[in-house]
Amino acid sequence: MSKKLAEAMADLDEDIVLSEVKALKQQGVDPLEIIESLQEGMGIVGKRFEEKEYFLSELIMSAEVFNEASQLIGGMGESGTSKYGVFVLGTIYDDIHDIGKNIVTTVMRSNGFEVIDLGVDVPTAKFIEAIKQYKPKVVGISCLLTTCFDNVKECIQAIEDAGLRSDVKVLIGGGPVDEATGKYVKADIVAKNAQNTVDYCKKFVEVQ
Amino acid sequence: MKTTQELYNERLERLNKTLALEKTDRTPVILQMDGFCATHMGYTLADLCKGVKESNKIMLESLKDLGDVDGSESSFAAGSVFPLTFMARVKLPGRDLPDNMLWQLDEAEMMKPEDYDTIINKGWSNFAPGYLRDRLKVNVDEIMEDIAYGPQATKNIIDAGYVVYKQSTSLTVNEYLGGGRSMVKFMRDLFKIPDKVEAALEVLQKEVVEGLRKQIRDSKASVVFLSPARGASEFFSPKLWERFVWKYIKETADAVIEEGAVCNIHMDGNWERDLNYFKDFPKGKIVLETDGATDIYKVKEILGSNFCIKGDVPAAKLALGTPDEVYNYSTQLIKDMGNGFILSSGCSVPPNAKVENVKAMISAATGK
Repeated sequence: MSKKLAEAMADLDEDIVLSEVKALKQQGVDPLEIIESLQEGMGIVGKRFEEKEYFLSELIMSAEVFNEASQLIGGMGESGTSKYGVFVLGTIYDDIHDIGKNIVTTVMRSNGFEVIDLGVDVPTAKFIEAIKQYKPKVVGISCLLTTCFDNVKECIQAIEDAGLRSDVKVLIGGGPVDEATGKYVKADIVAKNAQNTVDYCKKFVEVQ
Repeated sequence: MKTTQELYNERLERLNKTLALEKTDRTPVILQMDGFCATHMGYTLADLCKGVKESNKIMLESLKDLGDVDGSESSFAAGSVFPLTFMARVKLPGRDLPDNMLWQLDEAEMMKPEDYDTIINKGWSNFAPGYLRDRLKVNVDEIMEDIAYGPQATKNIIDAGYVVYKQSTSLTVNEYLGGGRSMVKFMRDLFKIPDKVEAALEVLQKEVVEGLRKQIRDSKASVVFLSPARGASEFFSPKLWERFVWKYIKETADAVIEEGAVCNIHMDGNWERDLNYFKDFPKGKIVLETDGATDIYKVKEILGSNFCIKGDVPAAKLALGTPDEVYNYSTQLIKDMGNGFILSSGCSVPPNAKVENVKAMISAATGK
């Protein structure tokens, strides 16, 4: 574990992060160990976010730095490492918002989750197919439009009808989504932001 | 029975007194609605997006059906105009989307880092038209031709006895770059090349505020709608917020106030951390328009004695709640907010709001 790298990552110091990753790579350090240091730094970013020292701006910047750094060592691949298992995520059909979903994807990956990003305007069948194929512990549905609440509800009901509901927790998030929405669509958890998603998923995985 | 002119005068007086924090016979209700009007009156969202004239007709029908509201936030639906304000492409129902799918920004990194230099060296007005036409493939002439109906659209609503709340609209300049660069890239720029972003914003600010001042004079606007769309405190650390968001809200609102209008600041998201900044404005010169994400009671506590508050029946409640829930929420707001309060939805009334919920919100103010 490189303390210098973890600290630079936590401080969002891109120049030091990149030079340290290059140096460690040249020294022949295992890429997985480098990723672990970066993830250690991301853990501190999360803590600072919780303590209101960092905000969405820093969360986004941290994800960008993490992406750059991981690319230097061959990238995290499509799905990243799977210290905490698989997380399936998509924006519900009829909704093409992708910014929030993309932030969650990157923040989750950089915190040790394998993320299957299904994209935007995702039909129910694709969520079900992904749950069957990847067997995630948590599936995330992003929804930025009140007009799509019924689509989320239908999707969650279909997951239940397919007999998959007992194996997977359903997390929803997005601007207009609140606790009442969560109750209406029968989600397990309403995530207020990307860090909230990480915290919930880690807690759930650790409990398992 | 009152004539439409008498109704208009009564409603306008009620609104103006509220803006001045004076006591009124009842709380005014101003509806922020466009998509809702289409579903309410049996049209598709594609019908609403055909043009300014069409959306104005649908919105007026909806207003008349809803009865004793004081007015509408605007006189036409803005979906098709979005590219000119957010510098991003928009997908419209009936054109890029199915007829009843809501219009949505199709945000991508369309503005490149080198564009900052172009803006700094050549000016915003020498950059924006070409960017919209060549990169976003937006037919600016067609949109401008459509918007030219705006004054008539406003007149149609006034002639029916309703107030049109905002007569002029602007975004804070950081939103032009945030939309064009896309949110993530813009945030990154704030960390990597803050001075360059700031230099471009200064160029933009000078030109945009000049244009806004002219717009206010030409339209004789009494209320100007200023949207710092994604400027909420929750999105930025305090240092970034102060430098790249607040500065432009303050300068723009000051210019609006100098021109003699009231500045309605549209506050989507959670602004609680920074409410104290707004104390700097002169009494009665701004309206804080919140969407339910900021605790409206905090707004009242910190700023309520000096400024009018507008909000904040949540969109989700209008879509999923019962009429009783909406009525009780609205009634409580009216009671607790007191003078200087305009009852409204939190941001727009969503297209899938239940008509009986919207009517329940109105009833809470009118007592009918």
